[in-house]
Amino acid sequence: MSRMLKSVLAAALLTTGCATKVTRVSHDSTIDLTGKWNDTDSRLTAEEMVKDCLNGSWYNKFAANKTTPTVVVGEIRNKSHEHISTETFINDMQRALINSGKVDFVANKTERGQIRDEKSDQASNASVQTRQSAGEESGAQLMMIGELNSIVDQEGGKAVVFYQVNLELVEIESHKKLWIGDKKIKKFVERSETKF
Amino acid sequence: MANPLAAALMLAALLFQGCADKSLLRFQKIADAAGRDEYAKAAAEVVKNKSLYGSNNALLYHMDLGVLYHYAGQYDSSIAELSKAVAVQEDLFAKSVSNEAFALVTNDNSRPYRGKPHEIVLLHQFLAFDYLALGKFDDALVEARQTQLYLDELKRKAGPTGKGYVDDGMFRYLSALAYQAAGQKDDAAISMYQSVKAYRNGPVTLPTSVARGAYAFLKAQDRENDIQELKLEGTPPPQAGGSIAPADVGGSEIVVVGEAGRAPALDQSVYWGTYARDGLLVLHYHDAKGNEVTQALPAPGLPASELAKVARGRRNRSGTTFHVKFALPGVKDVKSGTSFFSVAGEAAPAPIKTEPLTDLRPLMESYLEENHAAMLTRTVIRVVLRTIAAQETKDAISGSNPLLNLLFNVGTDVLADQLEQADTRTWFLLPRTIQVARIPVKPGVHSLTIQAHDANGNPLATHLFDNVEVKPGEKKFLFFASLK
Repeated sequence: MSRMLKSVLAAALLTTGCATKVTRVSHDSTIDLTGKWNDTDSRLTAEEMVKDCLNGSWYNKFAANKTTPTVVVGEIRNKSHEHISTETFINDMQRALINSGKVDFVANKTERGQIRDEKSDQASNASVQTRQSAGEESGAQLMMIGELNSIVDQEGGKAVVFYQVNLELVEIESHKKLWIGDKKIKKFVERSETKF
Repeated sequence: MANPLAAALMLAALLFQGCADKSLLRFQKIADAAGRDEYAKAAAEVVKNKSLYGSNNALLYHMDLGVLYHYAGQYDSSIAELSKAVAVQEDLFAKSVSNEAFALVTNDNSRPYRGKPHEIVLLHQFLAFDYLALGKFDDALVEARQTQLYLDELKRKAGPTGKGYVDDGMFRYLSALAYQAAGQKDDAAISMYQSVKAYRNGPVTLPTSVARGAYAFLKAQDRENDIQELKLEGTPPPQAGGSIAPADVGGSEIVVVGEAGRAPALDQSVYWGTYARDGLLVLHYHDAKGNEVTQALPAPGLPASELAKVARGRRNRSGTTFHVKFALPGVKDVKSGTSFFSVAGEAAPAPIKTEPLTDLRPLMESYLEENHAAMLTRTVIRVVLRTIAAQETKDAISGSNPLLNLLFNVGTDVLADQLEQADTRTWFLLPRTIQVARIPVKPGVHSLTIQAHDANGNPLATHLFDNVEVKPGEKKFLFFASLK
C-alpha cells in the first residue's frame, strides 16, 4: 500500500471518529453521563415518593369517608448546588399523583392565573351557552411542598454527591402536616485529570 | 530530517500562526465599543469576530459575550452564554497531554484558556447577578454553592499554609445578601463571617462598611463567637445614608450594584539577548518608560567534561553562543474614567455613593505573583528546548557557503523568536471595580436615578430605574455598568 493511500485511510478513520452519532433510547432508560441530577433521578424520586405518600395512614381518613382528596403541588425549592429544573420534577410528581387515581388534582398557582384570564376573556367574548363561569373552581384540600438539597464532598477528580429530596403534604385549612417523606440519592463521580 | 527536535521546531514554525496570541486583536475590536458603554454593539462584535477566539478560547468567547449581555441588561441571554462558559470550564478539567507538550515547543497560547481563579469566581458571580436581577434567588444561590465548591478545591490545592487568592471577600459578602434575600439567615451569617475572613487574608482590602455591616448582622444573629474571632467588637454601626447601610434583618431594601471602569489587561515583557556558554548572559528588555535596557549576567561556566577537552586541546563548546528570547506577562492598566456611582430618588433624598467591594488590579497582580514561578519554569523549559532545537537545526542545514549559513542562522532565530509569546489572554471586559450601595426602603414602588461619575465627581452616564416594586422583606437588585 502506498504511503499516500495509508495517509488517506488514516485520515478517513480519524474523521469517522469525530462524526456525530445519534442512537434512540427508551425514555425511561438510565444513562449517567456527568453524574449530575438527571431525568432518571427526577422520575424515580417522584414515583417512589408519591407511592410512599399515597400509602400513608392519612389517606385512610379520606378513604373511610369515600372522598377523594384534592391536591395541589406548591413550591419545591432547589437548595442544591446544581441548576435543577424543579418544574420537571413537579411535572413528574403530578403525573405520578394523577396516574395513581387516588387523588384529584388542581392546577397550580400560575396555571390558575392563566385559566382565570381565559375565563375573564370568555366573559366578554364567548357566547352565553359556551361561557365557563367564574367562582366554580375546586379548592385544594392538601398542598405538597418540599425542597431538594445536596452535599458535595470532592477532592481533585473524585466527588461524592448526595442528594436529598424532602416533601411534605400539608392540610391547607388546618396547616397540619399529614405526611413527610424523603428520598436520598448518593453518587460517586470520578473525572480523569488527563487526556491525550 | 535527522533530528526530531529540529523536526519539531520546523513543524511548530509551520503552525505558529495558528497559536499566535490574538488577544490584542480581540481587544482592539471589542474593547472600544464596551468602553463607550455600547454593550449590545460590543456583543455583536464578539459574535462577528468569533474566529478571533478559536477553539482554544471557547471559554473567553462565552465569558465575553455573557458579560456584555449582562451589561446590556439582557439577563436571559447572559445566563445562556455564561452557563456555556461554565460547561466549557468543567470540560477543561482534564488536561490534554498532547496540548501541554505542544505548548512546550510553541507557547502557552496553544493551551486552551482555563481562566484565572478570580475570573472563574466572577463567572459564577455574574451568573448570580443575572439571576438576582431576575429575582431568581434559588438559582443565584446555586451559583454561590458552585463557587464555594470551587474555592474549597482552591484552598485544598493551596494546602494549609496556602496564601494569596484562595477565597473571595466580595463573593462571600454578596452571597450573604443572596442568602438573606432567600430567607436563609444562618447561611447568610456564615457567608458574612467568611467574607470578613477572606478580605483579611486576600489581596483586596476589607471595606470599612462591610466590616460595619458584618458586625451589625452577626450581632443581630447572636453570633458573638464569630464577632470575637473576627475582632469586630467596637466596630461602629453602619452609617445612616452611607453606601452600605443594611436594612434591618428581614427589612426591604434596594441593592444597587455598579460595575465601574475597565479591568487591567495583560501585556508581555520581552527579554532577548545572547547566552555564551562559558561567559555571559546578555539580556535586553524595555523598561516601563519604553527605554531599552541591557543587562549582563554571569552565565554558568563550562562543565567539567568540556574543561577536560580544553586541557587536551580538543574541540569544545567554549565560546558557543546561543540566541535567546522569552516573554512573560505583566499587568497593563486600561484607561477608564468611571470612579463611583451615586444613587438618588425619593428612597435616597441625599445621594448615596457606592463603595467598591472588589478591585481587579490587586487580583491580577496577586495572580501573576502566585503563578510567577510556574510561568517562569514553563518559559525556561520552552526556551531551552527551542534553543537546543534551533542550534541542532542550524547544525543540520549548515553547508560550505558562509552567506547561506548566515541566512539560515538568522532565519532559524527569527522563527524561534516568532514562536515566543507570553500568554496575555484575560477576561478584559470585566469592570475594574464592583461597587454596592444598599438602600433600606419601605415596601412599595420606587424610582431611583443612578449616575456614574469620574474621580472628580463629574457625571459620565445616568439611568433612571422607574417603577421598582419592593415587597415586604424583599431585596431588589439593580445593576448598572459604566466601563467608560
